[in-house]
Amino acid sequence: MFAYTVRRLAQMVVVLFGLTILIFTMLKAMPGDPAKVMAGLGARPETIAAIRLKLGLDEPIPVQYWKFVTGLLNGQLQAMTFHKSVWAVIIERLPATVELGVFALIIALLVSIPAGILSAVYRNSPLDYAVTTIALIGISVPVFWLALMLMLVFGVILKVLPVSGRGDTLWGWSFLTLDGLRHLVIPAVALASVQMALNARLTRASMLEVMRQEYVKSARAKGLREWVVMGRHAFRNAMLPVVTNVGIQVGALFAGAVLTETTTAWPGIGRLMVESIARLDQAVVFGLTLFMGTCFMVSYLVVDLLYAYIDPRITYD
Amino acid sequence: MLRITKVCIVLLGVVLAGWGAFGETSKPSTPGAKVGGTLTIGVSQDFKDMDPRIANSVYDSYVIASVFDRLVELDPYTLEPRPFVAKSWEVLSEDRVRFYLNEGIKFHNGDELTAEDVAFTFNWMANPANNSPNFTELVWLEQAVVVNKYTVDIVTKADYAPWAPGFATESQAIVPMKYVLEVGDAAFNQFPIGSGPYKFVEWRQGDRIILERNENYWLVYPNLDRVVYRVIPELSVMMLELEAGGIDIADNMPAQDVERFRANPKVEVLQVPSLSYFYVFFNMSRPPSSDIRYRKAVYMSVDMDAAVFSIFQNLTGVRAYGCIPPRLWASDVKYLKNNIALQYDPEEAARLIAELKAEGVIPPGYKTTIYCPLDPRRTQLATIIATGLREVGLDADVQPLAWGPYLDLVYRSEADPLAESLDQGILGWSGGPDPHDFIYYMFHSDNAVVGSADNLSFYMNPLVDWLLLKAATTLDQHLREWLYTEAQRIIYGDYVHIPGYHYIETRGVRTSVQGYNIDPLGNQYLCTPFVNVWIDPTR
Amino acid sequence: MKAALYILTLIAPGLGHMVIGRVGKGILFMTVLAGHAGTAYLAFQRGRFAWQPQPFAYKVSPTALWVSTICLLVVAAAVWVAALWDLRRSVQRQEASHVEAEGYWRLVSRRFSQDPKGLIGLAIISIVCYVAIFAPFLASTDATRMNLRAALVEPGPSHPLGTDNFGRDILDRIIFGARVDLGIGVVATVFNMMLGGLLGLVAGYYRKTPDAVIMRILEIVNAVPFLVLVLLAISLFGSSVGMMILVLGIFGLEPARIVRSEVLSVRENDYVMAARAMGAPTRRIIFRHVLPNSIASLIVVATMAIGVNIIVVAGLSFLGFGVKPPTPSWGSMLQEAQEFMRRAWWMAVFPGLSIVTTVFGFNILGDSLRDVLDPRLK
Repeated sequence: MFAYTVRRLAQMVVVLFGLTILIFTMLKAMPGDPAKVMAGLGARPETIAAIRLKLGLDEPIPVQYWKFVTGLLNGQLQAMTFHKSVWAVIIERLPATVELGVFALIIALLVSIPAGILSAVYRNSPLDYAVTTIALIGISVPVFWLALMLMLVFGVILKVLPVSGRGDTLWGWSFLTLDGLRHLVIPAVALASVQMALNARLTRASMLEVMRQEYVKSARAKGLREWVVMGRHAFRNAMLPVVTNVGIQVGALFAGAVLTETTTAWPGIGRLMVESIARLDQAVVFGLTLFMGTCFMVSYLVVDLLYAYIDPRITYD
Repeated sequence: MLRITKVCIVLLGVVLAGWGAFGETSKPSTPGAKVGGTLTIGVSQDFKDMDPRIANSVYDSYVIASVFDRLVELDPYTLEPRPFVAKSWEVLSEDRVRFYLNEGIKFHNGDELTAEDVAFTFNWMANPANNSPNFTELVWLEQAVVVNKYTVDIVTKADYAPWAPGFATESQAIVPMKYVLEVGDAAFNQFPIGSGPYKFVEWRQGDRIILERNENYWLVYPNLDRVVYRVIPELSVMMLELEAGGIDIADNMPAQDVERFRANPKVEVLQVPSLSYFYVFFNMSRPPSSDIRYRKAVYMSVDMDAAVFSIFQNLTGVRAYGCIPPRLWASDVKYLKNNIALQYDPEEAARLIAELKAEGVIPPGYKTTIYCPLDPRRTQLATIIATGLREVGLDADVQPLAWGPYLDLVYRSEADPLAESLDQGILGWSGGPDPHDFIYYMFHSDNAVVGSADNLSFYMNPLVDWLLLKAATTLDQHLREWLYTEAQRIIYGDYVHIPGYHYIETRGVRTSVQGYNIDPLGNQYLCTPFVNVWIDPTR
Repeated sequence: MKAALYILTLIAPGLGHMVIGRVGKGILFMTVLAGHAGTAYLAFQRGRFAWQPQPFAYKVSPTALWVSTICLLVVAAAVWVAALWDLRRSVQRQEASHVEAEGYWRLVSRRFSQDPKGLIGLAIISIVCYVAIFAPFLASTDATRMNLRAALVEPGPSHPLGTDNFGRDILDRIIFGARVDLGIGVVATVFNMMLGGLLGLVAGYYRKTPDAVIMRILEIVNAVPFLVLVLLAISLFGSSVGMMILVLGIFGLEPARIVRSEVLSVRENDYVMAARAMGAPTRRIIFRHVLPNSIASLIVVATMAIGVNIIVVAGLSFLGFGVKPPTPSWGSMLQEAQEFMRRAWWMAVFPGLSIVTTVFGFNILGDSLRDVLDPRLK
């Protein structure tokens, strides 16, 4: 197990290294000069040259690459648009995305697990069809569109929720205040839609799988009441893949956050990504991509290890 | 807005009467004002810098306008400079203006605002070593000299001498020297301290900036408890927020929403013609766009009246015929409209395109691209033009680009793979209340510099160059008007641009907001010698 | 008797079925044919057949018109052939008393035809594909024609789904948009099935170094959210339709994993080992044993991937990096509509519905295929 973890971590380093090269190459190949964006329209060539010098854009590409990587590791890499380090920029924006993602996941699980179980238990009933259909529609609706519709209906027409933005915060977290919590609802529900659908389907499949197993059949044969069978035996085992799958959804959450945050004026790292690409802030895009990549890979690893821990049948060698 | 000048008062001095004779800074009068409440302003783009010396986006200047005081304040109606921090000034010589400051102005940390702060602010920005993006706006400044604690001289470079009064009265926000030197530029940029009516409280990155009342404001007691600036990048969402009451002021409103909000008793739509000009420029350095027939064909393939109407519905923009906004003198709209502007004539356009194709100026199978920034208005105009071109037989499509790649493209950087395909693009310009601010930058050959072009067409015409230079260095108003008129007629007769539209600044304001004026230069002033915004909770 | 049936079918597909009592199928064939005849009529009435001269302002390429024209004949022929073939099978089945042993694919098709989900999905996708192929016949204009003086017209007789802010007909734009969206979705998916499949084969078959390298590449690409990667690539290469297909095709490498794991499990099978022991060439082993085994899961993944690609393209459009105007695509229609949300609901609702319905079609079909193609059936 230990050897496996070490090997996976080593692989992760290799992958991260590859990622730095991929992203750096793309950023440098992209048309546009960050210095010009910084200098604005009508700037003198000397100003642009001075900014290029300051940003180190005239140095040889390998040197720039080296500075990006080391700068990211020791936290000294400066964002191009903001006058602070890339990490500072990311960390300022991170809580917003974290709470959005966590709430979206909670909402998704709260809705999808019961729905998945019901549709498995009442397989092929109208209820099952309804859940399946709604879940399938859920993954078919563009997230940004859903967010807009929610804002229109709940924010403008019914006036029960604030339309957009992040509300009051306490220690940098908005879910700790009532106003913040109210602001969280629309973006979190929009972001949750896809996860909801995927998890409902997964729960259903996993439930069906478990219900086929011998121990459930024997529990039933023993004359235990149906809900005891379901609750005690089937449910717990069926949840295993669902819960572990949560880790894998981190990547999807980041991607969804890009659209949801842009639509709902949510100040998280998804929107930061889009804005930084438009502003050609290569340092921030570089840092953010690697950050997202690392989060994704770590959560993947944790899930794998967790899986091995929970389910002793799995061994990694 | 493209070229964002937070200070636009260049060359105004010529027509200004009564230099220096003011004795006192006026106070805003707001009869019936109630004190208290929070004002929330929706802002279309994220904030970048809060240090007025380096901030160059109009959105940053919203906040800066309330945190800092300016040396002089522009009268919102006449745009003439009026006393603010400086209670009066006098022109000492051709290149020297002396300002007398109000005494007892305190920064938020308790330090007094003195001549040293004023000199520091100006000299720092004008020092090329500091690389301030606002350097070009102070390029005329030789030095700011402290005379005594409350007196400062602004000295103009010799070349710019005749304009000294106009330049010197740029409404520059004053920063506290001692504090800036103490905390450093970076920290100051994150948490600015000024002498203005509202104090900086918190900057939540990407979300909002919060200000609160400066209880000890020297000029007047500010009416609002708090001011919140909220970043809402999607205009449609901003409109939903305005409708729902999530924000009190929306800094922008598209035409299609104007009628709806006018009918809404809770919202008032405020408008003022802005000093802006949006245009289609042609690349004059390579065929086919270097051929005047091509440029005319593109012009005639578009029904510009209908296009501008469909985008602005005669509500938030008017069709342009030249680069000088109709609000300014020398705009010469009538002549340009009747004698230069081309009528929609698809047959003639098709004939010209066919002719160019037959001559090989347009190669067979050629597809042209209309470049534009990621902005709904300009993308719409580009789409209309592309459609028009398709209908007259030239395949065209639209490529909206993010700001970064777009600048690179229009500046013609050699490394840019797209530069090879640049025939025409759409851009906007906004300047100060003088024709020079528009026509000189966009058409003088000095500004056709690869890597940093304002003359995006690379239009080079010695006669136009001479006219523009002459106009910029003479004080005779009638002569200047004639020179600009002539220059504009020549330029637009060459069809270097298809003039697009002049934008009408449009804001949505909840009716509970009282005493708010829309600023013709696009800023948001909440408490100045002229206004002191307050909230009437009953409305 | 039989001959009469076939002649009836030749006259009108479906008639034969009705005679032998298969009314439902008969009606289905007749409806399809009637619909198709309707398309032909529209084409004729609008003078859109490829050999007819088109007005100057109609900007659909002659090639596209030829494709549609030929497809019109092909589809018509296909209806007849399908009707005849199906009739023959029905008749045979009625005559034969014994039940023949079912092969895997026959079993799959029987199960599929009994699954309402799959049929609904197939129906939706067929209709969308049909609309995409015959867009020039079905749409009244080329979908870029503006009428600036008739902007934002409500849905009504002259414009069934209304017009947009440029006075373009929404229905026409949805019809032509189907081409762009489906085109990008399908071609990109085919492309990444091929690329991913190839990588997976190489990785699984050769293992060791190639496997390690390919798996690391996959992990690199997987580590960054798909949308972010595509966004970066599009701002690098520009957003032409071709580039979009290429970028989506290159970065959607999911199939590689599936093929690889399939190969790894197949390699261990006795028959593959036996084949290898007998000296069968590698290529043969791959084509005979590995591909057929992975094809089921590939089909499912591909179906779903088309839906995902359509959604991603819509997302890109929303962020301003979509298909270049004035080419219609559903995503960019939605993006343009967003500003007019409170003024012209029809601008937003119909393209939105098109996306949702189409993606739903692909998802529900994929869902059904997953059940139907379940290898445990074997």
